[in-house]
Amino acid sequence: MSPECHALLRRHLPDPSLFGKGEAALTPALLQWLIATGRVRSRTAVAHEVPWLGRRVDLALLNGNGMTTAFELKIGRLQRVIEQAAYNRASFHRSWVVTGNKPKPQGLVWAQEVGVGLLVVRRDSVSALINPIPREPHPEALRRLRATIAAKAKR
Amino acid sequence: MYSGILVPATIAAFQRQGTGGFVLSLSATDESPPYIIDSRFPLFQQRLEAPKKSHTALAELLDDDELVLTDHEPTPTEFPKDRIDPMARHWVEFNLGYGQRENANFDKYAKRLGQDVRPEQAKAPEAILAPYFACRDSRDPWWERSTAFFESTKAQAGDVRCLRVLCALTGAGLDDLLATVSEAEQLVIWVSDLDEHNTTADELMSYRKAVENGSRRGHELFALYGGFFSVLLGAAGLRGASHGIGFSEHRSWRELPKSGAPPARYYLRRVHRYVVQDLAQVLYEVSPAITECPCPHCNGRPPIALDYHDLMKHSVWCRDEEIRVWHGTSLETAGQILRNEYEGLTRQITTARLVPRIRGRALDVLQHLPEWAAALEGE
Repeated sequence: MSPECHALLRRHLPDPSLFGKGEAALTPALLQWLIATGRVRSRTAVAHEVPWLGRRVDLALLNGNGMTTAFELKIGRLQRVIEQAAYNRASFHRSWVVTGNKPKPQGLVWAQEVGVGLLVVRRDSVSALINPIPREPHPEALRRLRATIAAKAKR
Repeated sequence: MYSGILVPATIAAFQRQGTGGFVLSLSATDESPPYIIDSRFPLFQQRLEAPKKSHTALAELLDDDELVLTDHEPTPTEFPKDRIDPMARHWVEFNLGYGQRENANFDKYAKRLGQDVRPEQAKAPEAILAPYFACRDSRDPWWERSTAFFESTKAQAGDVRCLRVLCALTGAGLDDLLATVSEAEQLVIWVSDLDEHNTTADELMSYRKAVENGSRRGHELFALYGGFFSVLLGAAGLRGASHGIGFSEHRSWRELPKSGAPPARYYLRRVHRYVVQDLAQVLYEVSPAITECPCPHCNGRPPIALDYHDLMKHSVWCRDEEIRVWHGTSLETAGQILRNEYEGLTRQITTARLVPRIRGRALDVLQHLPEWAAALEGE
């Protein structure tokens, strides 16, 4: 990882111990991967627990070009988190499920059916089993979402 | 058709300037919508573990510091006549003075209305809604206290119209309470926790029968809470309902202390209920016809495009449309329409390409339709 990437990681993950429990434990490895693969850059707004349509999106990105990405994290059963990620597709350009376990074949089929990406985090390694199908959200929803992510990222 | 405003006393007491400015400026317009204030008295029929400022403000208004109990559940014996009478007097005074009280926010709301309205044109409440208790039935000792509250309020209100509220725990309980009111009256009814979307057909039918029986005895019934099922009960004799659009189509008397701001949800016209905005969008993507809405707030847009205020305005428009369109529809016809809608939507959702969990959620939002149909058609 380059010094710039390290600096980015420190900015978005100043204290990894805050992400020690449950699904949140997947966050440090996920952020490292996002930075290492260029998905989070210096102008990317990164927001945790973003309030959206009466629920909370675990992690949301807003890049310098206005593209939005959602990540829903889950250690155990996939059905619920695939549902959340499927809902996110209506307002985000890309929607991912992030899990700590290798999913069963049925889980992969569901993720593909709804067009969400699937990342598996095992210790420090992250593998993308399915890439999300990009989508252009409704412009009014997108405008509100961008403002929500930007405001949450600033806090 | 009744059109007016129901103001919760907790808000009227705690936000005298804000709510008062809004209600009074409206009452001073040419349309002058009538309003009444609900005492929300069952709030004080229970222990309040964490009383809010609005609860203590209402207790202060009634000049009874002992109303807010944090250490025990009150019993009916704690409300003797010599305690009820002064509270009824304060309640009447508050109601009578509501339209005359100076209000710092009157001008602010008058300006928003865009009309030349003046404080001296503000009206008093249309009637005084007497304080009341929630009762199982007429053998419940709380009923005697509830009756005493009404009698005392009525005696002190003089010529001003005074209405009683019958708050029962079940439809059968309401039927029993209605049977005890011998003379034909305008009555306000409330079956606690009657969630129209999550109640069995039997309980809804028991509510319908209570309304029919009460109406047959000459009572003019108005429901303190109600959604679309209450609109349909117009054919059973219900004269009106307070829809609490956006936040409380139903309420348990035990939950009165927990009121708050309405959540952002989408009103799905075809099934006559709120659904989360995400699910509404999924249904739109199954077929735009499922969420089709001719209202100016949707303006042809999908559910996801609506912001909080659009969602509220859309739901108010829909309820108004429901009242206009369904008023006068017989119970049998309404039941048949709901069944047809249920069958058509079930077919559409079952055959759509949805993952099982989302399909299950989509089908769940239809489940009240056959229950409603059975409750409307049952003997």
